[in-house]
Amino acid sequence: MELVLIGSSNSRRINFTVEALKKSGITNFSFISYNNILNNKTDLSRELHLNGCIRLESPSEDTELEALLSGVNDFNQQPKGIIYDYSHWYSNYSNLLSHIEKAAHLKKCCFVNHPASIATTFDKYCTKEVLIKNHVSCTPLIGKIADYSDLQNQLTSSRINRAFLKPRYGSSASGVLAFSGNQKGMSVTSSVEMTNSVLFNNLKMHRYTSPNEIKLLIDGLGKFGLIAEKWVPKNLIAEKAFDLRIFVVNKKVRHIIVRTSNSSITNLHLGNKRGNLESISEQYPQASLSYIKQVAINAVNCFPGLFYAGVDVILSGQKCKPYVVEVNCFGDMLIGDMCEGKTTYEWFAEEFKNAYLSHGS
Amino acid sequence: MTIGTNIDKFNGKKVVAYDPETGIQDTKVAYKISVDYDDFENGKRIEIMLETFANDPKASQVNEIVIGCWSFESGDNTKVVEAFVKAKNKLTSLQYIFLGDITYEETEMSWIENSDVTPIFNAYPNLAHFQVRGGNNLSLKNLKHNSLKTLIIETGGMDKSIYEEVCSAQLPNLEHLELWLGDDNYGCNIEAEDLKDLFAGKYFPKLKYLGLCNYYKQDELAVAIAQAPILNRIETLDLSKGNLSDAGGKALLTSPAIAKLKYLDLSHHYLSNEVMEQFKKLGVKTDLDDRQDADEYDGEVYRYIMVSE
Repeated sequence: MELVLIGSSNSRRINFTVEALKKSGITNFSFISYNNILNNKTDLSRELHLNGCIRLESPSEDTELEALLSGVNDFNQQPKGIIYDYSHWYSNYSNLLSHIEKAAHLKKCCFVNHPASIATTFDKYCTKEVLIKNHVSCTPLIGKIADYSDLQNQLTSSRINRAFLKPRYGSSASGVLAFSGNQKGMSVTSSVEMTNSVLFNNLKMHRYTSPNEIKLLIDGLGKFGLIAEKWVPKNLIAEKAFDLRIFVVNKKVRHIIVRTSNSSITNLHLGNKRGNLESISEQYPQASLSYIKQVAINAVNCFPGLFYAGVDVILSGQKCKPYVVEVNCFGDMLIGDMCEGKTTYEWFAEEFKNAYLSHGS
Repeated sequence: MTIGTNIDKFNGKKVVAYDPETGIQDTKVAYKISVDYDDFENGKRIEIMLETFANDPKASQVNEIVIGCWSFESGDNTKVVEAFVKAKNKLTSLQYIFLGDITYEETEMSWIENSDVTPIFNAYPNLAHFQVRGGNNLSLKNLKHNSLKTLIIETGGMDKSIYEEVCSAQLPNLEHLELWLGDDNYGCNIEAEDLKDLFAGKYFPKLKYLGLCNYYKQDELAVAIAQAPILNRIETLDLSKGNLSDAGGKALLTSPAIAKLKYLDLSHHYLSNEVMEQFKKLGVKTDLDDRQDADEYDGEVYRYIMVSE
């Protein structure tokens, strides 16, 4: 079976995948860039093999590709890290996925991660709806937020004073706000930086307490698609909040990474430290690791055709009840992390062989 | 900064979560009554658990109670206070209360909603130790209690009214007073000048431990207290968790009364090595742990207190 990898150009992820495939003895693969498909430099009808398989990779870490998908004119003239309307990016990426899906259908190709589920998991609101419908324990959805006064109304009617606000179509902590407010005042903790009313992604945490600034922040992000979730308190380890990134492949949990933070926002690339799974079991003897893993597997199973994903899970309470926060269909880049001697990419290659190649070729 | 742990010991005893299914097993432990987020969403409430606790056959033997986060919906603890009052004829040995063992993930200190807690004091004449976290709407008006030995109020920003209520309280046997004054960004409107009667020794004749901690003007306070009569009466001075720097440290070193103290807690500070050395030579047991490095932005130095948010 011919495997085609489709991703961004000069992608680390593609390199990791290629290394793992080779190590696993799989040599029958080729690469096509999203860029060339968009620029019509690649004709998929010629490049795809009959009865082949396609592994779609994350379209990230490629500014040329981001420019093409963003729908922003003069993208390259924009200041670095500026937050733009990801709903256009999402719409363009979804169209690209449809285009690839149609071409694949003509050649009877299958997908490792199906484009329809990729599109769903890139939309946090839809992802939550799917998890809720399937009764998978997840951080509760409050709703879509149009702007600051919409948020106030929704919090008042839910009788709560704090929430996590997230861009509907973003990823990796970009644009996440931890909001608290009551009649006396309010605060927002976020890595979003606001300079002269323009919003940027910044790796450092900021704390906003001025109602005017907070209004600008939420009105600004609301225009690009914002959702609010209930703030479920995370358990702490060594005084830090933590969450788990659980790598599921072929219905099995392989890697579990503990991500700790001094704030309530735990994504690793914000400079947060990794924690230790054993110390969690020690501090929380009532935690059931097998139950937590099952919840992660169940979450991935909700999305048809998703062979692997990185599931973000928080644990709350003495019994460490798991709540799924996000399902990341490209959540396998866990650099340097090994599980039983293999990287996530090597586990993928192994499981790919089991699932797809065991019938020969 | 924030509080990231729940206490594991209270009054020298291990803190154990109370489970209504198993009840009060052992009075060699201190029970914590709490509900987690999931329980709260399913309607469980601390005030109900406290009522169940009080109805346990062993309730009259219990000396300590720790109360956890009472609301995940910005609610206050009025019903918890009422539950304590209602249980007064059952919790007849209760002497140690910690109202609000809450971490920052459960509720940040500045968002904890409190209430008038005086009824608890009125209901428990044998109360020896009362500790409460969260200054919003906290009130201790017309407080009169003959047995109380320890009063600890933890806030990220204390309103002057709380300080005034404490000073006008009649607590003739109070030995340990600890006030976490906090930061002006979170509601602290207390100046060192406001504390002058306390420093003059006007209140609490039996006071042995005075803590004025977690204060954003710790230096000014240290300067004011260094020459104050109160230092001649107490054994321990606690100026921890604030932003104490050399200015405050040096003022303390020049105080004749400081050298006679039994214990000086200056943990979480911004003192230089030189000043720390001088404290070590003072002959007073001094806690100099948790030294901080000041942040500097655009040439301005920022020193933070330990808990404000």
